[in-house]
Amino acid sequence: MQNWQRALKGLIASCVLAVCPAARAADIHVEPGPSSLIQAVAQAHGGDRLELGEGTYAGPVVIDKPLTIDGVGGTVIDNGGGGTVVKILASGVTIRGVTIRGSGTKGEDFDSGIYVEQGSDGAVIDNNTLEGNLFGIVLHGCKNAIARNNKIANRSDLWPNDRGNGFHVWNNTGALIEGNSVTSGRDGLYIEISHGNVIRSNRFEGLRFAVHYMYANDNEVSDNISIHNRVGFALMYSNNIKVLRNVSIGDLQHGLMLHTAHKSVTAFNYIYGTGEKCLFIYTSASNDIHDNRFEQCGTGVHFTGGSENNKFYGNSFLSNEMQVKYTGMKFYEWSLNGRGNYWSDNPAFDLDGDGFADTAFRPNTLVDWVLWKYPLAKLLVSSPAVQSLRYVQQQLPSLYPGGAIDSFPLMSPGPLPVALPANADLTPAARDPAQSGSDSRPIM
Amino acid sequence: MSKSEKEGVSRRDVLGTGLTAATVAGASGLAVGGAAVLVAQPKAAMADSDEENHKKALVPPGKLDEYYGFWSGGHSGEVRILGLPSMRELMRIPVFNRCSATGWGSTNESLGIMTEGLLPQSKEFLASIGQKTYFNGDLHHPRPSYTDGAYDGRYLFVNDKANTRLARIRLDVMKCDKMIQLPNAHSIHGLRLQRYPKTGYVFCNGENRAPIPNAGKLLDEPKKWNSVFSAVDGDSMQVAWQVIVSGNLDNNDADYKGKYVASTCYNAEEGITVAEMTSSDKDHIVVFSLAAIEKAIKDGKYEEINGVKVLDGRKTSKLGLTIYIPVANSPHGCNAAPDGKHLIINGKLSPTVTIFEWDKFDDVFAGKIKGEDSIVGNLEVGLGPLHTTFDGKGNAYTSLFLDSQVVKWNIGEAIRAYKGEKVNAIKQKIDVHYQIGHINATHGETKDADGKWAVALCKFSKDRFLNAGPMKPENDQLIDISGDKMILVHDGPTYAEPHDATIMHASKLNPLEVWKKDDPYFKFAMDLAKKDGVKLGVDNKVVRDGTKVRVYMTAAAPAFGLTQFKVKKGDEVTVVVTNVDDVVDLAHGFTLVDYGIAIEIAPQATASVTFTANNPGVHYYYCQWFCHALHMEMSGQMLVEDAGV
Repeated sequence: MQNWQRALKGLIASCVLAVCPAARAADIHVEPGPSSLIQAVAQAHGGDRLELGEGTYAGPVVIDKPLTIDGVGGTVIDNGGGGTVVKILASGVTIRGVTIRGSGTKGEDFDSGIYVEQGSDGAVIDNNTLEGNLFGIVLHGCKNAIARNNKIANRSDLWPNDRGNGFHVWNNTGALIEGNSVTSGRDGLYIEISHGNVIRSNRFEGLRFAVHYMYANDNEVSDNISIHNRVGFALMYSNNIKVLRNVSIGDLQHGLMLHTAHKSVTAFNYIYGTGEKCLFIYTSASNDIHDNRFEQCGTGVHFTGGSENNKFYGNSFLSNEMQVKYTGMKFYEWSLNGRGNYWSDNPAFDLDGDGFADTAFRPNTLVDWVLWKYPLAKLLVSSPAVQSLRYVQQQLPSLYPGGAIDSFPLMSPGPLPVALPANADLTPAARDPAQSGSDSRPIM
Repeated sequence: MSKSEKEGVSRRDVLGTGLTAATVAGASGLAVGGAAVLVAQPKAAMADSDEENHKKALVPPGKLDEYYGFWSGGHSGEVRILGLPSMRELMRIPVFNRCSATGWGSTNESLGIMTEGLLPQSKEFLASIGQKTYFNGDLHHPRPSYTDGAYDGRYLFVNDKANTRLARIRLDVMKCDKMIQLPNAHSIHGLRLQRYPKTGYVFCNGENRAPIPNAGKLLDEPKKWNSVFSAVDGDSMQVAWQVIVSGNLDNNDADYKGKYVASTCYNAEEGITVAEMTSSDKDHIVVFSLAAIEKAIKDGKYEEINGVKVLDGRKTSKLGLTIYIPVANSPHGCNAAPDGKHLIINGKLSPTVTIFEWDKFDDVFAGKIKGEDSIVGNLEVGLGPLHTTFDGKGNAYTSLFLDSQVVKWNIGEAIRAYKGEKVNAIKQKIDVHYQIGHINATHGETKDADGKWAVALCKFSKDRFLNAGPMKPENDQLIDISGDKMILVHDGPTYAEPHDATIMHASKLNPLEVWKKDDPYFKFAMDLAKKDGVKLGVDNKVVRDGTKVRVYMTAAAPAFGLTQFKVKKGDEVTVVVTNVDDVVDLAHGFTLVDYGIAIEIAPQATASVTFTANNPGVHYYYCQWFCHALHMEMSGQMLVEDAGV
């Protein structure tokens, strides 16, 4: 197809027959050379596949027609430090098996490895390595993009504010972001005003937020791994999210944060060794939170007033310094249909052997409060004084300051909801000394 | 816990800390086992309890507070005066609202203030719907006037986001005395004042982008809409000049040298939908050079639009009035530190604060360095940083909306960390309830910042107070910042909806106890009386001028100077009442039954109201502001003759 008439005919034919134009497309091999890639793109026609031979190609590349770019291995596109390396301005573009590096550092211009412009739908970004860019992959207002098995390591020699996100997803629907890893830059995946997307099986390590999530409804966030980030999964101002089987290891502040996140399911996640909070539930209502494991964190769950109608059951609380921090004045039942949660500090008996403790457990009693305010009192946790206080409180519920009640505490922890990755540093994060004074207990 | 910490603690110390819980048990009359042991611990160990902390905020009956707090009333349209640390509400100042108690919005005095500065276009619109002025306002920011970076106790300036107005409150009488509507701007949000040499300019951020002029053209061309930055002369309350900017304008602040004003922008994209407004990863701050602007005005580089000198300060302008510096998406608070050197920009969507050095803007304007080079610090403080206040000892306190916390951090250490030194500038975080917006400390916006108290203005109270129905109060919390650690000491429920508060030591103000009877505030009545040959506060007299009737009377507890007057149906009646009592706190009122009229007359004040007497019959008027043992008897009658009967 060397002239526009033939191209037009082909396009009409393909539309009539409802077959993909790629069926008639050419397979073009490109070798490195001064602006060889840019020329190849300019000369190619929609549906063509450009196979890039081993070697380094100069960017920036603007793809304004439905092309497939295939690296054979050892294929590098390098911008040498200015602007965006690959900019996609057409629907139906595929980029596969390429190393992309050397974007500029202008955040206001979204200097990035791959930038998909609004209206460019159905992009497939597959098996690429993006390194030394400001942003990795920017999906800017497009539909049905697939980003799979990419490795992203953005520049981290800039101040955090001036760094870019691994994925920056704005105003998207139908995206599938799967099997990627992000190991440097600002946030792993920043998603905003994007509804109906799937974020699955990605790994985020050594970042500010693994997943930074603002106003994005009806999404799935599943099977992701966050390791040693400042915040693991921060899900904010969103409804109907499925948060399943994610792992957070040693994140500093929050393993998993539900902030003004409603009507969502948070299940089978494993939060381990967060410096501050395994799970922070802030003004989030009508959530189903079950079968998660919260282990070795500063606080198991920090739960605030105004978080109503949440179902909380089947979770395992293991060896958190404080199992539950509750700042509110109401009582909540934390069990469902006779199934509560496992509390590693519950000194309970199960004389009838039904697998549930014989008495209800209140994870934030006055004792917990004393421990919370005066951490040194931990030394006395098994002392007669503390046990007496617990006993007194049990007899007089009016002494409880409000909080969670588990009427059916489990006698053993649930099975591991998901395996910890083998190749990860499992060191818990350090506690933040600045938070030690964050006492907010209501006045009694 | 470190080994040394463990070893350094005796069993007795630890036991003492259990007291709070034990006291609860003890107070219930229990003496069960270990609990009784705990009760026997020394009382000093309780000093850290919430109850004990709360006592710091208590001001006993008969004692006075140490500080005045000026609270914005948000969309209630009023200002409230609180005493600190008690957080007791002392007074309300109606401004953009109508007030049933004081007659604000219906007296001639208040209507004069509320209408004289309205734009012709608005006056015409209001007349078309049968109104003289707006009935609502959205008052966000109360800002006391400055001389040399310190509060001088003259005025309080306040913005109206709802109807694009600026008002001034006289701090000697705590009443609004001037109000203007700003031409060419749309919705005034950010408001701060010139600090040096004095106020001076009042800087008003036009938040929304709209066509200029905004009169029905360019409706479908949002790219041609603009935000406008206005400087109003605080003494004359006239617009001195305006600058058109790129993006919008959120919050602003001025330096301590009288050279620059900076403003945050959350929509550099110039979008219309939420998605469009957030599509970029960066927004900007814009810095205005006062010298460059004043020179451009002098050189005639302006265009006069709606009677105001308007300059072009957009990114494309060659006039050199502004610089634009990119910062992380959606910055919000803009706070000048009392050290006079630094400006803090709060990240909102970015968990960071950015520290700028004012002096470096000299070189940015001169083209010697890039805008970004005026940044001297960038500190991650927590999620959702909105506003920052200061203690004058080098520390900053930033509100974290998403974390619902206040973080204390050290400015000097943050700057050192930015230079690469290993130093942790974060000192402490405490929870607040819930979702804090503004935070402001005692004198935190002046060079006299004294580091005593800070108020955390929380947007939600949720379960912190007795449930008063589906609408909840806000929660303004008092924090003791005088020590190393912040301590939360008080919850304060407030009605819709304080956005910001400024706090001033009581020694800075000396309001009048009674009015001066010839105060210019009463000019309308004084001029009228003069024309009618009436001595205000002395004569009780009815003056008829065709169908216009003026009724002059005194109010002296427990009687009005006129106990009856007669008018005809359809007359335009003006009632002028002077409170001749000069006793402190002896206010009178004038309420006219079935006429919807009630006005306030403070000691030695004169107030007036004009209405058409279309409702015939006998109409009592009475004093509604309790004044005397015979207060109930303080009344009279307006007799309205109906000629047709």
